[in-house]
Parts: sequence; C-alpha cells; structure tokens
Amino acid sequence: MEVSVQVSNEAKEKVVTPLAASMRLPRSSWVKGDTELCSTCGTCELYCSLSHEGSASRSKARLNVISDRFTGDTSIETCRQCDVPACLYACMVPGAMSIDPKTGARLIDEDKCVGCGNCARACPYNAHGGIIRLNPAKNVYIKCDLCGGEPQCIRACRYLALSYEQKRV
Amino acid sequence: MYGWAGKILRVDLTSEKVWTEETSKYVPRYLGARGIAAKIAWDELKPGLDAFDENNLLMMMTGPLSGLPGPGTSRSYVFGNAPQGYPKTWYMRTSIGGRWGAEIKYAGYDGVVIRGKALRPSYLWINDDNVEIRDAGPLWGKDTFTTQRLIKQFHGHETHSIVCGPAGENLVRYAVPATETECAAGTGGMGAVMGSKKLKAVAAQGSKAVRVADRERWLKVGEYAADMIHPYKKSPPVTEVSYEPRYSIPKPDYIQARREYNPCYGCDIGCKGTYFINVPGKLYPTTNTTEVSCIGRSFIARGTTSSRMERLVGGRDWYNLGAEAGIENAANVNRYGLSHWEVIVGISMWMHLCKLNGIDLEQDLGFPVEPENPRFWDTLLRKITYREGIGDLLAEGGPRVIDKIGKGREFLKTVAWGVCEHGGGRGIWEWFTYPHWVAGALFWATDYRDPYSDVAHKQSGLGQFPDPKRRVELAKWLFGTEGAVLPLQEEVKDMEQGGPTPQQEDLAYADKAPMVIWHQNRSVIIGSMVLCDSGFPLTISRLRPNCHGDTSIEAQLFSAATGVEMSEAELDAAGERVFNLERCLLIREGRTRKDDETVISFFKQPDYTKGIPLDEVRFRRLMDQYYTLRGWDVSTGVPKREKLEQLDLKDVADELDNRGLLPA
Repeated sequence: MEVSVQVSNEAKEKVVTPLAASMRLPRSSWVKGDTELCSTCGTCELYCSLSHEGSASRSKARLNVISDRFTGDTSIETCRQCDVPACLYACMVPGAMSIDPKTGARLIDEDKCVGCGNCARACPYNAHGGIIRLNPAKNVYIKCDLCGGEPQCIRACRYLALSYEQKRV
Repeated sequence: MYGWAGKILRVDLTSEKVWTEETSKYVPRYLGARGIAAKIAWDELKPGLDAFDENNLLMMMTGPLSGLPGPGTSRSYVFGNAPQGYPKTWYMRTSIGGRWGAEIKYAGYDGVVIRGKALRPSYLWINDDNVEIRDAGPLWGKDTFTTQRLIKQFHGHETHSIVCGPAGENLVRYAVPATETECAAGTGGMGAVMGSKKLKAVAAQGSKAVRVADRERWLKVGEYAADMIHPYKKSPPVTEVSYEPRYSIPKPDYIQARREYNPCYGCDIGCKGTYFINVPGKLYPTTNTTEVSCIGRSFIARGTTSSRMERLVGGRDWYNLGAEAGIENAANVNRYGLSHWEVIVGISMWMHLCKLNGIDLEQDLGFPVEPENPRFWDTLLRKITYREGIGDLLAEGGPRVIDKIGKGREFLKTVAWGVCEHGGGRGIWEWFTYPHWVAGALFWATDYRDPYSDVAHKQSGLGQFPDPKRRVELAKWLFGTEGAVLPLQEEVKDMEQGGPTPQQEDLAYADKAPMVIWHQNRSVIIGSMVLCDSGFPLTISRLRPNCHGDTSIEAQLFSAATGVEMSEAELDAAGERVFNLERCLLIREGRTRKDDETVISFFKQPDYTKGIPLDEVRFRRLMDQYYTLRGWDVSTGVPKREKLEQLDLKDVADELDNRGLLPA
C-alpha cells in the first residue's frame, strides 16, 4: 500500500537544512542572456550606462556582451545575483554592499565603496572584468542593481535575448 | 559638449607629430563628419593633388550621434582624394560600419585627420589621450582578419581598428579600409591611400563616455525611430544561403549561420547579412567566419528577372558558385581588402559578359574566364591584390583596364568617374525600372561618387514600392507632388510594344529635381550625424499602417543628443550649405556641367527591364531645372555668388572668384 504524504516545499527546506535556511540571504532575481538570440549589438550596455551614469560608454556598463567576430563566439556576461554572493562576503567596508529589499539585488553603495576591488576579485564569473568593474572617474566599483526591478537592458533589447528571471523564494 | 566628443585628432605621419583641434571650431555650423571633412578639405586639400601624394588627407570621421544607443548610429566616414577617380583622382566620401566609430568617440575624438607619409610601415594606436604611431612591421602583408586579430592580441579584445589589406598596401585602386569581417568603406579606394601613407591600421580603444544633452528625450526619440525600422522580435533561423528568394539554395546543415548578427555598436536595426561560421571551403580547408551581405552574396549565386539581361547572359543564371565556394570567395575579397562592388559589378561582370557575348579575353588575361569555377576567382583575386602579371593592370580599375585592352567597352558598367553602376537599371541593379532611373541619372550627374548607397537608397525604396496607389500617395506626402514617381512603371509599355508615350516621357522627366535635391541635402545630414542609410531618411516605414515614416527624426535625434535645438528646415539648410561647399570643392578641381553630362552616355543604353533609353533632350532640360532650383549657373553648373552668400559661404565664393571660376 502506498502512502503519499504531501510536504510543501517550504516545509521540506526547513526539515532538510534548518541551519542553512536560517542563515540564507534573500534570493534575488537576475537578468539572463540567451546567446542564441543575441545580435551582440551592445544596445543593452549603452542603455545601462545611460541610465546609471547619464552618458553612453561601453566601459561603464554593468553587463558585458563579448563577441569575437573571427570565431563567432558570443557570451553575455550578466550578474547572476548569486544565492551565496562571494562579492558581498568579500566586502570589508561595513555597509558598502547590501541587498535590495525589493528585488533582492546585491548592491554596491557608491558613497561607501572605497574602490578596493575585493568584490570584483571574489566574483567567480568576473574573468573578463565586465560584471563588477571599476568606474575610474569616481574610483568606485559598479555592478548590476537590477534598476529597482525594471532593468533598462531588457527594455533595450529588440532581439528579446535578455530576460528577467525570477528565482523561487 | 554634448554629442560631439569635442576634439579632432590630427596626425602628421611624415614628422610623426600628433595634436588635437577643437571640434567647436566647426560645429554646429558643419554638423559633423561629412560637413567637417568638406570644410577641412576646402581649407587644406590643394586642388589638382594626386591621391597618392603625401599631402593628401585621410579623414576618418564620426558625428555627434556616433557611440550613442539608437538605430543606425555608430557608422563612420572616410574622406579624401580617392584613387578610384577616373580620369583623374578627386575628393570622395565613403562610409563604413562596425564598432570603430563608437570606439573612437569613447576615446574622446570626433575623427582622425591624417596627412603625410610614414617612413616605414606604421599603425596608429589611440587609447584615450595616449596616441602613438607604432611600428607595423609584424602586421604588414597580413590580411585584414589577421591584422585585426593581432591588434586585439597586442592591445586587448576591446580594441577596434580600421585596417587595410594587402590590396591597400599594393595600391590597388579599389582597395578598402576594412573593419571586422565585412565592414568596408567601399567606394574610392581609400585603402590604397592608407597603403600609400604606409599606414596599416588605425586602432582605437576608449574608456570615456559620450554625453547626451537630454537622456529621456534621446531614449524616447530613439525608440520611436527604431519602432519604425525594427520590431521587437526573435531573428528567424537561416535556412537559405541565396541572394533573393527567386534563387533558392538551401543552407547545408554543416554550415552554421546566423542572421542579424554582429551589427554596428549600439544599433538595433540589424541590417547586416548572414554570418557564416566554419564553412569548409573549396580551395582552402576552412573559412572560419565571414559575413555575407548585400553585394557579397552575388558570389554565391546570381539570377536575373529582367528579360534583356537574360538574353545577354543566355539564361536566368549569371553564375552559380554555390554555398561553399561563394562564401569562401566573399571571405577572400574581405581578407585581401578589395571592394566587393568593383570586383563584382566592374571587373568580373565585364569579363563574364564579354565571354558570354563572344569576346575572347583569354589571350589578354592569360587565364580563362570561368566564373563557375572557384579556381578562376582565386587566381583573379590573388593577381589583382598582389599585382601579379595582368593583375597589375586589373588593379587599376575598370575604365583604365578598358583604355589598355580596348575590348567590350559596352559591357563595362562604369557610369562615371571610375565608379560602377548602382541604381542605373543597366547592370547589377537590372531590375530598377523606368522612370526611377531617370532620377537616378540626375543623382549620378550631380554627385561625385556612386550616389545610391548613402543618398538615394530610399528613393529606390519608394520607386519599387509594390502598391501603386500607396506609392503615389507617399510621393505626394513626401515631396508635395506625385511627379516624383510618375509615370507609373506598371503602365509603361515595353520598347518592343512602342515604349513610353510622349506624355509619359514628359512626366518621367518632370518634377524629379525637387526630390533629388531633398535627398541630397538629407544625405549630408545623415552623413554628418552619422546615421545609417539602411534606416534613414525615414521616408517609408512598412511597420506602420499608412507606411509613412517621419522625416523630422534626424532633427529630433540631433537636438536631443547635442542640446543644440534645430528644426528640420534649419538642418536641411545646413545640409544644403555642405552640399554646395562640396560642389565648390569639385569646381575648384575643374568640374563643370560638361563632367556632369558624362553620365548621359551610360544611360542612353537601353535599360534592362523595358529597353528604354534616356531621352537626352528631356534630360538636359531636367538638368537645367535642377541647376536653377539649386541656384547654380545653368551653363557651367557652378553655384552663383548670391546662392553662396545666402548660405553664408562668402569666403568660398571669394576664392572661386579669385580663381576665375565663378560665373559672371
């Protein structure tokens, strides 16, 4: 005789990892890129830079589209807003990194950042330096803040290659 | 400064000196790229200079909109005395896409003006305020792809460069400055100017930003414009490698291909052709990637729909190289840094038509003409690029080849000034019908290069608009008169059934001049912003129910980006000023109405759709009307003093007067 017991996901997590669950940071949504659809035009980068800095610059964007025209390789580097954010844990300045209560985005406070670069070095996805990068004009590090829930890069993309992925909370 | 970067980089290769100049000296009066270049050329290019003279200027310019996100921004222009000019070289403009235009703005410059000649092969490395003339020893002799990859290895993968290939080094008169895989400044042969200056590349990387006067307005106008050009949609997969649906070649599974891939930076129009990856070549093992768009696809296959062309080539196929050899060929032309247009429409079309019509060229060339054979193309391209044997002559361009060989002059599709047919209805654009090529002839007559890439692309779009009622309505909306598209091409009879009636002929040569003038002034604005001719001027939008575009969009974009409030009319006036300045530049080189009329002989050949030739008497009357509307002297084609003074070009009028060139 089979007995099926319905256990809610929340209950399951509580049972399986009570300690981890209690220590867990709120999960965050993130911007996901699809390289099959991406045209690599870079409009997203410029919208990002325009909305955050007020001027258009490839090197001040908080996401990075890399394409090699001679091999056809494409990659879209966006912040994963990790469940276990190495950047946030690496930051030594109290209050310089925080979590957006609305979206869950891992934020850098430009007023408190001292430009040490610990976050950028800690990020496991930042090999090309396009996810957390230095803004030399202000000597602060910049990263994706999800624009308060309305990412401008997604607004920019006419090829529908970027999407706003909600993580299950 | 908003929009403009604020500085123009000046380089003298002879003395190895680099300095900057304020852009504010030229703007907003001359708007940007094309306007500034015309002014610099007027001030500094001596008349009668040969293109290979070391005092020739090589101007690579961008405009106030380059580097901003939006449809059609980020192109750039190359100007200078062009080697392709025939019988003598003269000033030409030519535009190029890719990422260089945006990158040079991020480095903080509106353009680079290069003069002099380097002692040894060099390249220019621009990294923000650090500008160096470096030794190009390791790059010299390399193809355009390899050169760019090496530069990326030297300076990082975000470095973008405009380079010349081996063709440019060997001074082939139709060598192109190239960037990425198929972006090229095609007309004019500026790649050979780079070669003559021993300048292999101009590499740029920048960390600065382009400032916008009104961000919200810019985004709003940009999105409004983009909505009329490109919807939000996923690109469909590539299933065919053909040029047009009438010539279908399915894509083999082992070739990867992508559409709308790798556009210019920050542009969401996605005009670009198909990107092919890992193509097994016929002669070389692998073509890693190349992009094949526009004319380049003619290598893969070329069919015809016009009856006269069918008769000329003996069937519906011109040639059919197929996917692998065709893509490989396109890649080779790009690698060597040759102009697709001159190779396909000029040299090879002449050879092919000669062969099909019984003129034997094998003795002159030293190799058989077999356009279906990839080996033929390989030989031809290599000989031209390295000037081997007969290639030394072929590298001089169509008209100079005919002067020497003297065979098949009627099959050389050069309209005038050493530049091949485009929008003439008698060559590769064989489907372009009467009466639209009448306006085309006037475009050709009054320009100094092929006008159909950045002046009249949209005129052909209107002319070929399928629904006649809509076409007439659009013409009336745009130009205030239906005459721009009359007589309706559907009503004109074939020459063998009597041809156009005298009334239709009258209509065909009436009311064309205002449209031509509007497009020419607009092309200056687009060339100065810099915007892309595949989207602008926005005369027609097929994404809107009534198909109306918006002609005020350039003014809106310009005002939003620069903060200099300009209306559509003011901008058109600025365009007219630059167009007149360019005309004076040519007048100083010795151009007159007689040179304008050299296009007539080409257009007097029967066209390829209905066999209708140009009516010389009526066309001369149309030219009179054009000159009068322009305020130019009807007998000489020189702008009158009143006109120049009205356009605030008194100094230009004075100089022409001193030289005795101004009409009394």
